[in-house]
Amino acid sequence: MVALIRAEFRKLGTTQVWFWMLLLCLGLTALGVVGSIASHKSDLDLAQHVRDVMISASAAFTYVPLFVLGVLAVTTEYRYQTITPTVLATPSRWALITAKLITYTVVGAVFAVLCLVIQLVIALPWLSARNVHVSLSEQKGPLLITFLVLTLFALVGLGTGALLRNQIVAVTVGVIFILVLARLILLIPGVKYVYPYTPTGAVDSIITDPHDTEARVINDVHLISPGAGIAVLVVWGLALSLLGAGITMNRDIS
Amino acid sequence: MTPPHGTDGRIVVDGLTKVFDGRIRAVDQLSFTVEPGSVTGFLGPNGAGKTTTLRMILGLIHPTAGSSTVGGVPYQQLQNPMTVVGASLEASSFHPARTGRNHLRILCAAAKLPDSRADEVLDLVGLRDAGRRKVRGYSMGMRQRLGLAATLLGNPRFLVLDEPANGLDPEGIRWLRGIFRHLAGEGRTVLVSSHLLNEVEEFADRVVILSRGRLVRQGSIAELTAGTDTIMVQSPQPGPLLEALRAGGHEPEQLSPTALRVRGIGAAEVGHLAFTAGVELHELRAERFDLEELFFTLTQGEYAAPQDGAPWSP
Repeated sequence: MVALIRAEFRKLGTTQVWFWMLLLCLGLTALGVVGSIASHKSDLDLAQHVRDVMISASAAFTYVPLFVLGVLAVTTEYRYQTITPTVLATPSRWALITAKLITYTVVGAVFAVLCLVIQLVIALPWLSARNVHVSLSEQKGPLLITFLVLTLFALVGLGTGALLRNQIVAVTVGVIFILVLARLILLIPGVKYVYPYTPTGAVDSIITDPHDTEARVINDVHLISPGAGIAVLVVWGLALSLLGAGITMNRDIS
Repeated sequence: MTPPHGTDGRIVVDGLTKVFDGRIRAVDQLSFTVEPGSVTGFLGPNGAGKTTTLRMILGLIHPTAGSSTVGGVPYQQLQNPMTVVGASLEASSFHPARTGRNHLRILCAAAKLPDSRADEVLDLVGLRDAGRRKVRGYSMGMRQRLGLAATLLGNPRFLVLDEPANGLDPEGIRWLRGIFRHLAGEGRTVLVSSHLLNEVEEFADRVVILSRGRLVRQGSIAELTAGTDTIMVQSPQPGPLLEALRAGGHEPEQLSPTALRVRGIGAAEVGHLAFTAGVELHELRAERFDLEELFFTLTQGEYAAPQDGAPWSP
């Protein structure tokens, strides 16, 4: 397994996709922090919304590039037919998907840490300049939430890629579902209650302030607890990956 | 570079069948054996089922029925398969933005081989300088060489290659021929599919001929072409020559008003019969019945697999 994980890291490191996705994540994080701080005109108002600033990296759709990176981990193999040498070297699709899951958990975690660093590098001096003093030990919760959302979305992307295999379909359908379709569910009576169990709903459940009871109800739909939201993302990532390995990736490679 | 010892060196295909979408019978009850220490050409017209068969042997396509083993073991059960089987199936299985060297280093990592092995095989296939360039800049011939380099990474006992001469220039094909001969000479088992019959004849010791998914013939080229040489003879007096040959117990085939073809007889005997009959000859030539001729006979003529679904029998 160590050998397969090393091979997966090499696959990622020997093209430039990771670099551009990282740049996009860092850019979105920076925009999110700037927007979050600049939207509060008074320092007092800003001081009451420090949590919002500390989750900027996860609230600014930074998880979308990580989702795409996860999708590409599998679909690129099919697009360029590198799946043939990959499977010739590793016939077991289960071993292959396990190696990818481990690799992209680490990659997601590293990206998340770098996004958090950018977030803090921008936020801390700016907050200080506006007389808002932040204790990082008090912000562990929001920072951990951001870390988990970003890390887990790489896995959700990986699972989506494994299940759909086609790169254009997986990226397009995945991104449109996350950004648009999942929210449209909230408009459908009866069905809307599944929203918190979609990846988008899970993110809302995780990042929305647990004490803000008003914000935690969207169109009569109650968000689930942050812990349950994290579990939902884990289940999405693992379930899609295992379904992909067992069904679509196990199909003939011709 | 010598192959690892201690395993059964044969590739055995037993009753392999693949039906796509429940109706397209791409491979039908195919059985053959590839022997070690030889290069076996896997021949068949386009759509005969060659690539599907190779992919079934390599575990990429699930057979509808039948089985195949490499060294006595199904491919999917091999421990670290790259060190047992080197396979190259298409010249396009590369990420265009990755260098050739990095492509090989990824495979080295997956197969637990030292990275230095990538440079060694790049040297072996003549891509040392091109190895650090992105694959998108490679010609088809260079991609074929890179594919072959990947097959050699694990120093495997078995090599399975699908149309490896595609895109190679004459020099490249000559080089490939030398590589095959060298690898077979080391006792390795080499299975090469190709539609370039003249090339196969030059590098293969044995052939497996496929038509419409079925085996039509397998054996050594010498066995398959034995006794099939013919004599071409031209004479302004075909009538007397025809009579002389028939009197000698032969049944010539008249190709034109002045040309005859005789099978199962040497040029000297034809010359002698013509001389004793007082017949003037303008041409007397032995014509070798080559692999190409045999291939077309087997795949289109009397030996071709029947259309009605009944199994072919010799």
